Amino acid sequence: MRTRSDEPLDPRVEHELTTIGRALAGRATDPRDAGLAELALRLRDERPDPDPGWASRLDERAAAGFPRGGRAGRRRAGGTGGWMVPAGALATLLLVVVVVAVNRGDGTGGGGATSLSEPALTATTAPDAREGQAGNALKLDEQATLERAGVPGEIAPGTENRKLDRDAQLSLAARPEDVRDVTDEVISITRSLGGIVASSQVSETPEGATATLELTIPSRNLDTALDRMTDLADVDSLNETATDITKPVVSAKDELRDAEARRRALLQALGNATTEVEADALEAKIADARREIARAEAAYERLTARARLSELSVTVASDMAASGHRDLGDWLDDAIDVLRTVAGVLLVALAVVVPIGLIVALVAWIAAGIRRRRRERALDG
Amino acid sequence: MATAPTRRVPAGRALAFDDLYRSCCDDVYAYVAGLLRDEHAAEDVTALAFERAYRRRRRFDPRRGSGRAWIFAIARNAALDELRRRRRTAALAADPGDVAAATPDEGAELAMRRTALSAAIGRLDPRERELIALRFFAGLGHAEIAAVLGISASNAGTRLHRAVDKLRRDLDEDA
Repeated sequence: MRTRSDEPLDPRVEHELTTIGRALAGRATDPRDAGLAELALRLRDERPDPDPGWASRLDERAAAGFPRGGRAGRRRAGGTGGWMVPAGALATLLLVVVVVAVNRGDGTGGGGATSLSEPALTATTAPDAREGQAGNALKLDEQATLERAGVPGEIAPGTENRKLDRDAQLSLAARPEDVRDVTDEVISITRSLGGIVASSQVSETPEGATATLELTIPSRNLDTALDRMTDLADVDSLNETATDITKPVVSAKDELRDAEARRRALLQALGNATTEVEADALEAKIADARREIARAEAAYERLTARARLSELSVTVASDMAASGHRDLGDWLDDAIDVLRTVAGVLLVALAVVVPIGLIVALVAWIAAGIRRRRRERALDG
Repeated sequence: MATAPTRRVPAGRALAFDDLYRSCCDDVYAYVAGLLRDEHAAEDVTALAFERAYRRRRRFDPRRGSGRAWIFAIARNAALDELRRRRRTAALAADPGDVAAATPDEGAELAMRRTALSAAIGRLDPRERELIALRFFAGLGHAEIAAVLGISASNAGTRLHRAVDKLRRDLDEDA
């Protein structure tokens, strides 16, 4: 039922076609075209008429809405369009597989112990014992609050070159069956950030399980570690301590520099010594200077290591009430999470279905073209 | 042999299948029988075409053509499928008297004339015979024939004229 653009007919052809049309319509024609008009009428008289019995049976079937199972219905099963049923079934199957795969991936990839609700974090900086030692400990409550609020790395102006000794204690609460998984995830995060597990202990009792981990993590990765670990389960508490050790570091460095300078001066004096007694005395002083340098170096190394590495203590405990009381916020968080998952599944499904649809449409278009050509060839036989 | 004029469904109106069936059934049969030249196959194909049209009636789009052209296009596809399936085109072409045989009570001269015409139709190329069937058996106009065959109306007219001309020359040679 396709149409094509038209072009004018040859006048003679048009005239004769008009004559045929007039003859078939029972209108007068030019006597010179009597032969053509007669042929048109004779051709019309050759029109085959259907058998009345068959016609009445078809009328009945048409009136009944062509119920399936008739002669035509059987032919139809093998006719065109039959491929659409398996194609549709295949597309549906693919869609189901994708949805199931995405759901499974979501269930395992996020960690079984991941809590749907994210509690308010208590990011308070506790006073540290070393504060008194340094004498000028910097309280970083404000900084910690900023970082917890999603402003990572923002520190007070003028403190960019300061050396901070940081450590933290994190308490997580997970469902009893998830404690071990959460612990494994904590260890995995630590290793992935270049840290080491100094010690780990997991104790399981009928009442629940508790894991205690002592971790050493590069200070530059401490915030990342805390961010990722607090996503693993409900956070019971989080304490971060930051002590400014810039002055002790600077002092240790100065001390080291002084010791080295003194040694150089003693070496120079030794070169200028004129008597044996003078040389012996200088050598003893140089030995003292060497010991002094070694001591200063060790002190400096210890301090810089405190600035470079952070101690993180993590406790993962069973939360017996995890499946118990839930407030409106928890339900809201769950609802948002479910909606997010559904949206993700739909997006992935769309990403699969659209290309498949395009391929099916292309195949259908090609198949239709092939079928059309084959049909036309039937008239060439 | 000629049947009463059929009722046409106004173009541009939503498809009323009953109207279409009543107005086209005999015409579709005549076209299919003229193309296949086998009355039993024509019955099957006509029934199949209307059943397909009935199942697809909601997909009919009046903007793409009349309901009449639509049902003839469906019938044509079914007829060509039948031709392909049975691979009887050549055999049928050699059996021109099958459908429109002269009845015993017709006069001898008329019977001879009908036989000659039927034989001439049978000698036509199947594509030409299809045009004859669409124009003279089914009563389609040039625009409708063009829509069914997927060609332009002028092309349909030219091809129809060529078929009629060939038929006329063939009959003249016989005479």
